[in-house]
Amino acid sequence: MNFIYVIANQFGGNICDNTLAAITAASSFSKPIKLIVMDNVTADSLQVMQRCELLDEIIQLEHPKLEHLLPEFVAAACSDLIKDNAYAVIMIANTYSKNMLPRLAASIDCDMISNVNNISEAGAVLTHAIYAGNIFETLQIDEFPCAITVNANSFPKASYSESDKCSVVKITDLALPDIKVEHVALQSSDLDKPLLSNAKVVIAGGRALGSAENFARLEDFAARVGAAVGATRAAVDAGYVPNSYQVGQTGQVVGPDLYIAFGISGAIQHLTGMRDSKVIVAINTDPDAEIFKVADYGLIMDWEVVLAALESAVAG
Amino acid sequence: MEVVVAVKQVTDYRVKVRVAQDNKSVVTENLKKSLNPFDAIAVEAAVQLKEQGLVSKVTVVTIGSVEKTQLLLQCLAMGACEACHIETELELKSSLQVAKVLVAYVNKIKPQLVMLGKQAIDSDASQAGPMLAGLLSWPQLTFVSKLNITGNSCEALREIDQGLHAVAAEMPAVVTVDLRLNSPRFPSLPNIVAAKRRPLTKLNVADLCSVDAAKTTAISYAEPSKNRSCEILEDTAALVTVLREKQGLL
Repeated sequence: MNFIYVIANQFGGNICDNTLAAITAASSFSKPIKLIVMDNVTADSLQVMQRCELLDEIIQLEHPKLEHLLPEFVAAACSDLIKDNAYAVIMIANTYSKNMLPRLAASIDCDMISNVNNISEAGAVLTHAIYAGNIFETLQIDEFPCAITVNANSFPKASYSESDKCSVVKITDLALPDIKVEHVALQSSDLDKPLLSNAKVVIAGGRALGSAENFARLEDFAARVGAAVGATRAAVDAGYVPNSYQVGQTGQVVGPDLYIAFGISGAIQHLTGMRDSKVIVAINTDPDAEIFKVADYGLIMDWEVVLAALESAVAG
Repeated sequence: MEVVVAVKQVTDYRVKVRVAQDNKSVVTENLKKSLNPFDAIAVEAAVQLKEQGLVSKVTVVTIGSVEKTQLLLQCLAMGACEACHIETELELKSSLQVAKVLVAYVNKIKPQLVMLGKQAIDSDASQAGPMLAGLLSWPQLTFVSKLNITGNSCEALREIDQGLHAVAAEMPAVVTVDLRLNSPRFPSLPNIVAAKRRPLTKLNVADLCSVDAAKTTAISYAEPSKNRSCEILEDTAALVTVLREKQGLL
């Protein structure tokens, strides 16, 4: 029971960059760290991770059933590997880990703490957000192992060295359960656009934008300045943008260098998803809007006037 | 086919919770309590399946020490057939404890489908559903915004960070529901009256299973750090300057 396992955040054959934040979080425990990667990641992606200074070993699990990262099989594959060896198992908080990690935690009979933003006392004390980010709870772990999801924005990314720091061990003789579940299709947002979770700049809109066409205009502007587009729950519910754009308690938590909020009033459920952004700019016609309380710069003006000005600034 | 819907009572989403003076707890006494909004969507989905003739019985279950009659009557008024309150003196703080009690209940009732909200708005953990599925070795369809049941199989659209994920599974299965699956109904007066005649039973947790102690202890609570000081800009030109010169954008 002496290893910290980080399960890589992976998508489309790549190990996502924010896995490095989970590795930094894992280093708080002062124990050897092993990174677990599923099946079909590219050789390039693995090679980059081999240079990560904090890693002790990379374990690649290979089995046809792991292709689509279904939790029934990923949890089973990891469970066999870590059940006698894990002190903690850590993932970045997102829909992959929210789906899979509780299943894995239950299978090795350990408690799980979600959305952790601080780790102290060599991993014995954790702080995480509850009540839509209105409250931070600090917990003491009385019994290890424990399973943890961490906010990618709360931990710096582990650094790389010039040369390989660890080896890759492949495990192929996995006995996975016969559970009747299958992947049908993934209807993914445009993969060429910056990922919301990874973008340095996020430009977000609320229901005030009023239409899918206006969001398309926001997207055009975002594309020109290399930003990702986010949205409030109300804008997603109204059908202006797909669910994958939603920032907040029930969507994604982002922490870019710059967050520009167009016509967002600032419900606490939205604020919890973006208040860790380094710089926040808010544009709203209501001077009393909650969004201004978390913003660094505010402009009390109609979003459309401001967007037009920014569009012409880019064009000019 | 029977469906069990597991529900939780939470502090109403419109109420702002606060930390107690000694920082040792969250003050929730005397605040308005409600059915967890995601669980309301799960109840609605199960009732709709019954109305479509795909499900014969919908049973709603909740766990806890305090009185849950109002919560369960609300679910019955929405159209659930039966309700059960699993009573326990312990405060089940961890989702693993909750999942283990639900496993024991599911093994007793033997439904084909268990539905839950994708998360409770107090803990925001999103753990109970997948833990339950894992302990039962059942398929799990989480964050579901569209659900189709044909014969013994269910097909779902799942809301994930990258978009929508279509998955299919054979029942028995666990489904956790997302916001956009449906809009829960407001019970009509006749249904509120009818709900009082439906079976509302109580079980003691000890009759189902033993409960392990939680493996964590809460030490303290805090509210988010102070708000930022917002510099209100005069016009769009000032914003362009800030974005261009301080942020390197544009």
